[in-house]
Amino acid sequence: MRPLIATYLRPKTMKRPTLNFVTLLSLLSSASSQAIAQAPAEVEIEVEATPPSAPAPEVAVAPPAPSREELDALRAQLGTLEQRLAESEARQAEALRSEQRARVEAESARATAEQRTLRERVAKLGVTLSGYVQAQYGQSQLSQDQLLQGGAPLNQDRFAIRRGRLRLAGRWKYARADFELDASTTRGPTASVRRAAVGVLLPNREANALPYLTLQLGLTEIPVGLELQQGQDEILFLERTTGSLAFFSGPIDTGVKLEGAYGPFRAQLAVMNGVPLDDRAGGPSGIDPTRAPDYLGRLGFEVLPLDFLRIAGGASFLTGKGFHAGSDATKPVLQWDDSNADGVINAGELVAVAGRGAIPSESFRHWAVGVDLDFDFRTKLGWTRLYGELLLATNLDRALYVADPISQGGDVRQLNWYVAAIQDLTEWGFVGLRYDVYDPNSDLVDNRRGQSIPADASLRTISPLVGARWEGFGRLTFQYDVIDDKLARDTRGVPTDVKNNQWTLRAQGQF
Amino acid sequence: MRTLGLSSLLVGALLAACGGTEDPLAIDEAIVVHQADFKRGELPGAAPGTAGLEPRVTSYTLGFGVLRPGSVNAQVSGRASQAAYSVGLRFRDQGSGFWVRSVGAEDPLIPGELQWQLSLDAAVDIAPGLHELEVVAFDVDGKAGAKSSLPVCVASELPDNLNVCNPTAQPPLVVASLSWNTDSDLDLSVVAPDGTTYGRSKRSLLQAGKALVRLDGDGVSGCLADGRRLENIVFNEPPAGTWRLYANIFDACGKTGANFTLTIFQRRANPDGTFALDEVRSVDGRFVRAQANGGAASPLYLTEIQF
Repeated sequence: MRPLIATYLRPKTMKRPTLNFVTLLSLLSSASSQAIAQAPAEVEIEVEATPPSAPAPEVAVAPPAPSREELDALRAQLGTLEQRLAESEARQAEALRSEQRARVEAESARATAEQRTLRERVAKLGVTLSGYVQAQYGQSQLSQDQLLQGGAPLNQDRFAIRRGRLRLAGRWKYARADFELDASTTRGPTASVRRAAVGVLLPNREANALPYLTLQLGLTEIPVGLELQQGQDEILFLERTTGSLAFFSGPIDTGVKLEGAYGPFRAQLAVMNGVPLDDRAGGPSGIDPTRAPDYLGRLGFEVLPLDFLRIAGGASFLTGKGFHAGSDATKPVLQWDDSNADGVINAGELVAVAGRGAIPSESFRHWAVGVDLDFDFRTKLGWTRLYGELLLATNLDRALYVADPISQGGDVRQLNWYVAAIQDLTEWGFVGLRYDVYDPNSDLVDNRRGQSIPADASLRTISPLVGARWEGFGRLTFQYDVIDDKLARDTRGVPTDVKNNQWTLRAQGQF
Repeated sequence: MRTLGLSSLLVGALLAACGGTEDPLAIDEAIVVHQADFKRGELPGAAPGTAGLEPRVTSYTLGFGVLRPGSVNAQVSGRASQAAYSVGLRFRDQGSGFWVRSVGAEDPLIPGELQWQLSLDAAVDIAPGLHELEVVAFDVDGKAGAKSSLPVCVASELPDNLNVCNPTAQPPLVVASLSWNTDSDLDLSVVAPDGTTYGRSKRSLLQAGKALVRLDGDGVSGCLADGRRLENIVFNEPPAGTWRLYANIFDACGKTGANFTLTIFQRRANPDGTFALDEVRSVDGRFVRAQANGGAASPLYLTEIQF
């Protein structure tokens, strides 16, 4: 609706209309009576302005000049009319907005209802569909614009899809099934299976309590320690600790797993291939070369003595067989060793290398024992989580400094431990700090000036992180890793820290 | 105490974040020393010949006469005084830093002196010419003694008879050098005035046991990457007439093709009795994969030289 007064005063022609006083009074009177009668209903009065070409109507006898009281009354009437008009317009605008809002809400509610109906329909079958995507950018001080021998790039400053997971989970009264696919670009674009297991269970009489027994067969989590069993979408630190990554290139393996829960007690026992599936998809294949499986498990507890306190802990073990690959048979070859670097074959520079028979492979024993402890308590700030883990192992490094007692001439002992703290900052944010130590060879010996002396090859990592979360949608996390190691040597030839700190910014979205 | 503890932790973390040794690989340096660590900057130590400083490199020898670009496992070995913990090495005018390696055990033949040995690879693009190779020993505190140095000839990829290190050595009359940018198998050939083709099938024109004209090698032969991507035809004493130069792509080796450059170098004799090889002409071109012919098709004419 156009403003009443404005309509009157704004003629359709470009020139200002000429109106005499009587015309104005009569129009005002007419307009005000109509406005009062019809307000707050919509009112529109079309008044044609006098065309500029048409002369103003002639008045034969000039009327008497209005008194001051009359003018004041007219002005007051005009003010009242303007006010009512403004109120009317505001009411109409608000009504329009409310109508639009109601329409949007109705559409949203209809879509949600449809979605819920679909989910409910699927859920009725006992199947849930979920997933998440982790996109990140990271930088490392080790990055160079160079390739290693063989073509592997040294650059680590890049964007990557660390994980892109799609999960189907079936949960029924006496059975369960899990299937999870991963698509990522961590080692180039690739897609692979991350979980595939079927199981039967003996449900707990209490609702929402863990089943008394669950027996699973397939590709599933390795039941050792704490961080290995945390979901990759739930763990707030961006990667597992160095030692955990060295022992277990991925948190899953193929085998059979029995889990039990009774009151505060927890037990997990498994027989698995002993070849964890690499969490960074595109890595080496996980085909088990040994007949002997790995036996592993964890015995633990979980209590909630108070509403705001949770305590959990346990002890883990692993025993099994590692593998030392032999070599194929070779044919005799002739080699040229340009020992004086003159580019010419000289006497003594041609070497005959005789063919050799195949060298058989061997297996060796590896084992680990560990303990873990986890305190969670709630304050006004939110939940605080303090946890840590220690794992002693022999010949278990399968990914970082691969332990091979056959070629190294003796067992290789490892030690991994860490402590971590996570503090919620209301429901929207969190901060954390983790300190982890991994000693890949507790019996390492270094050679200096011809003498063998004990050496420490430990890698110590301090990982502060800060993040923001939007419950149900995802989170944004920034983590800096200060890595202290012995991978370089100073001018004396003594092992010293190499510059290899790194940081990562990761966004996780989930559904 | 609590504040102090937190502060100490934070300062410690910051120091750790800023610490560390940079760039342990340094594969873009002029030389790469095996099982040694790279440090940026000049080689520390007093000038060669400074007496009375410990520790000392007491002797060292080169296991090679000439260092060729791209050569591997060139040996440098020596001994150092008893106070030495490590030795450092670099070319004085090449690269951006030096390499350090721990010394070994005492020499059983020379008591009181510790042995050391370094194995180095030369970069493909190391500058040809004479360069001073410096070594120095470091003590237990990382303090360097006096440097020692030896001149090392880094040869040119061109068959110049080591003229780049010794200007009085006479290089060939002309060298035609074909280089390219991918690991494709390209061949350089030349047609003599009498119509004979010299190339990968017939490599040289001999007279009384002397090569008047010769091809120095088959680059990326059979698609085996050699790191050089280079072929040279050397004209020592060519018969007079017009010599026509051709190039061919024998096998693209899975690449999309190759950009190539033919460069002609000519000997210059100086009044002081020295010589040099000057670039006098170059021809650029490109082969695409579809042109690969296994030597069956006619090669591509590039230029000619009149003797």
